[in-house]
Amino acid sequence: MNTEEPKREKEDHGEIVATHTGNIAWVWIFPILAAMVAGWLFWKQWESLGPKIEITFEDAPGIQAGKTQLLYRGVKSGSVEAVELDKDLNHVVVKVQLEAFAAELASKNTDFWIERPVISLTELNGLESIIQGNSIQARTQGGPPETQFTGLNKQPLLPLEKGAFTIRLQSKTIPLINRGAPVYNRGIKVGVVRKKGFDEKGRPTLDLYIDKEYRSTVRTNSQFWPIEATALQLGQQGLKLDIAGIDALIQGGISFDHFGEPGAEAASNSVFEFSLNEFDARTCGKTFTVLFQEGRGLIAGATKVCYLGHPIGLIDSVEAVPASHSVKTTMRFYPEYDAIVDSATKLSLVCPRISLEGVTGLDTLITGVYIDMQPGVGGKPATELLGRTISDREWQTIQDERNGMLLTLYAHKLPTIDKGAPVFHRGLTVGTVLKKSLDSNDRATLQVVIKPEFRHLISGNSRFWRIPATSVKIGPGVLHVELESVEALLQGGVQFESFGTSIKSESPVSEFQLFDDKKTAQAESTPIRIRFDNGRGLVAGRSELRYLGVPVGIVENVETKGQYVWVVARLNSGYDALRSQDAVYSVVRPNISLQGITGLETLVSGVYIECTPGSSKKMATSFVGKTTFDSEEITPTGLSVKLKAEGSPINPGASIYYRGISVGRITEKTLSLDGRDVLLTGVINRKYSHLVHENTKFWDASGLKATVGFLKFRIQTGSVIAPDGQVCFATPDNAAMGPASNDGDTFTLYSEPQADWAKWNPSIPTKE
Amino acid sequence: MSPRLRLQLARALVVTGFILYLPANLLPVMTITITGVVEPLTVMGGVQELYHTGLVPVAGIVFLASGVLPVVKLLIMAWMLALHGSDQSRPLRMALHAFLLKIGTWAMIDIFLLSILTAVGQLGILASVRAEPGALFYSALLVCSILAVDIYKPYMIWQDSPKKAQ
Repeated sequence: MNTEEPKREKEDHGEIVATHTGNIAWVWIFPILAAMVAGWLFWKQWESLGPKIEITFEDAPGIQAGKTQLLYRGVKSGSVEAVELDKDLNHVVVKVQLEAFAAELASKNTDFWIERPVISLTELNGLESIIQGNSIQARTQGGPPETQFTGLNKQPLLPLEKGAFTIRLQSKTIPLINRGAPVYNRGIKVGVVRKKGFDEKGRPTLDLYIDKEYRSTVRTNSQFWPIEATALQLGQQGLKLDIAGIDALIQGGISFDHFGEPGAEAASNSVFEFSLNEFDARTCGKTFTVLFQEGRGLIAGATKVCYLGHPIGLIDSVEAVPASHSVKTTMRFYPEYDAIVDSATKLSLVCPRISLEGVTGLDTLITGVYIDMQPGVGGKPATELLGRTISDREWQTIQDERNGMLLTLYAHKLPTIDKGAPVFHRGLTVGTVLKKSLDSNDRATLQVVIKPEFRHLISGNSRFWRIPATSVKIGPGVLHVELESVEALLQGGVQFESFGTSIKSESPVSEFQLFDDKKTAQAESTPIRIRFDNGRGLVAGRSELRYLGVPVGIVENVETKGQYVWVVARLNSGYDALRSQDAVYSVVRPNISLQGITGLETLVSGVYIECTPGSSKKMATSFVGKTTFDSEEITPTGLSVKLKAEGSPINPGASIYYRGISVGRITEKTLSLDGRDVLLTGVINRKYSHLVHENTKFWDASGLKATVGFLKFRIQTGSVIAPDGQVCFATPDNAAMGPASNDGDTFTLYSEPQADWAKWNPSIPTKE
Repeated sequence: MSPRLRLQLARALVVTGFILYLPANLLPVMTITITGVVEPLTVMGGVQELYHTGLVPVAGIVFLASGVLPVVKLLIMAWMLALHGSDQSRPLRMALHAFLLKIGTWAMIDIFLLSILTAVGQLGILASVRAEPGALFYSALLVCSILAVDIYKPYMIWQDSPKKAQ
């Protein structure tokens, strides 16, 4: 302006001239500046704009033009410019203006979805959208540029990035597993179920996303199975409900692991089989084909294969084959058991059975049938095996058969013993009857198996006998009803015991005779034969042999041969003295006479044979039996004396008296060898045998004797009291009595006593 | 300051005002963040917002006061500057000039309120108000129009143009 002033002064004539316009042009700097700033701002804003894209959604709740943002990793990457419907009103077209830095989002593999709050039991998601309103979210894997997109209906679970580790499971059916269900490896959550769908072949698939840091847990041999949200178990502990967890309960879950040696790390996008359950997953060994006669109760994927009761395998498929009239199953085992399954392996179906033998396999009512596996010996590797359909009991038998001791019992006849009947030993069931059959000799045989733990009980001298269903015994005064177990009542049984010292034979004995009852069995096996004149009352298998009143054997057979009755009897072991050559056997029958009633017990117990052991070392198997009325007479094995007389009215049965006390009996009356004398055999009760000494005198005291003057006579009467007569004896006083007499000493039987004999009064202490 | 300079300055300011009017209205003047919702508002956006919330009279007032009035002022000013030197409707121009001077002081009320709002409306995550570049342009626009009115003195209305004077 200073330049203007002198001009104005110079031409200060009041003449107005146009001022120099250029001087004040600077004012225009303001609009230029403003335009520049505004232009720069607009340009900057325009520069920050990325491409425009269009996303088609099924619905777009809460999406507002100008407000809703497009978020990528939580960063505003664009904003909605317009929300429109397409022509046919089926979709919502959302136009989004991307930010320049997010231009990459406009590429082909980008997914867009509307994030909205999800509040459910299993997930709590998009909480911020409650406050901020719904937004459009994106994730991308890159790809060629694209501006038209179809939005996802649901929020994807994880940002799918480049190089994400996903695997695919496929199966025939996919159980209830929701998108987002957790994937566990040994209890640690390592991923989620990303997608449920079908593959090209229409098989259901599950896509899993595994966290990168856990990708090494997925191996090529990993097995996947669904976590059972709830497991209701009805077992020995009662009803048991397992709940894996609330989230698993609602959306299920997947667990995986590898069994055996870990394989190589699986590549991304590998495909795995999805097992039905954990057990199914664990049985990832080789597949075996097994043929069964019958497939009742077999359920593919559920029926287990047990080894010693421990499940080790699973039936994979069950299929009836009409051609071979069988059921073809495939099964898999735990890999570690693959090696023991071979052609010799027995696979048997165990199912419940209710029979007279009892209820077996009852557990299978609850657990379902299972297949029992028993490894065999010497099998060849095979993948095709044969299975068997048997009951639990039979399985037990097979077990026993394998481990136990097989015995053959033979008998003449085998009533009421069934297959499966128990074998008892002292009341314990130690085995089972396997089979009932006839052998080549037409003998009835029983195949019996003894459980392995009891096999030591069988020895060479074991005796087997049948258990009758019931036995009623009438003993003296007692009615004894023996009732075996109900089981035995219904099917009979076999019992055995070893009598005497057990004989350990080198080679195990496997054939035994089956006796009818315990008594027969107990009796020593080598029979003795006794000849009787009369076999009245002797019953085979019933009549006993007794020694001192105690049963020591049994009559096995009674038969007539010639004029005699031959009794075949068996003695219990340990009574070898009774086999001695001079043992005495006599039948005891009831006798009622004036002398008394003897053998009355035989009225009830039946006739028995009383045995008197002999002293001879020589053994015999054949004896001559006697018939006696009174057991007492034989019983005193005491002192046997021979009385020699010229003739005597005395008969066997006559009593021998000492000082008026009956101490013995005449048992036999025979002729002497030369026929000149009569020989009476008297037996002095052992209790009194010490009274007989060498110089003892015996005299006949039977009948009524009368002495009339010097004439002595005797009235020979059959005494009413002692029809067989009486024998008395006296022993001289101590000095003169001589040594004690021995068995079989011969004395003279005087017809009458001498006067001084009566005065003898020795003091003879008993030996005891 | 010579009347010629005043005239030129006023003209320049009016042109600047018109230029500034674009960014002032196109750029958001403030950003309101309520519970996380970030909402950038332009002047017209604010009017729209008010209108949509049902406050039609308020929207009208704001529209007139903040949207229309500045441009009306600039137009009037431009008209007056265009008629500078002519003798057309000089009394009306005087009246309008007086009117512009009068309401000129009120024009800044928007900015004043915005600055108060920005200062007070800081409620953490719940709500916050932030002034945006638009406000700067807006206030610059207002300053331009006020200055233009102030610089163009009323006596200049009565000045004849130099050509006419010659």
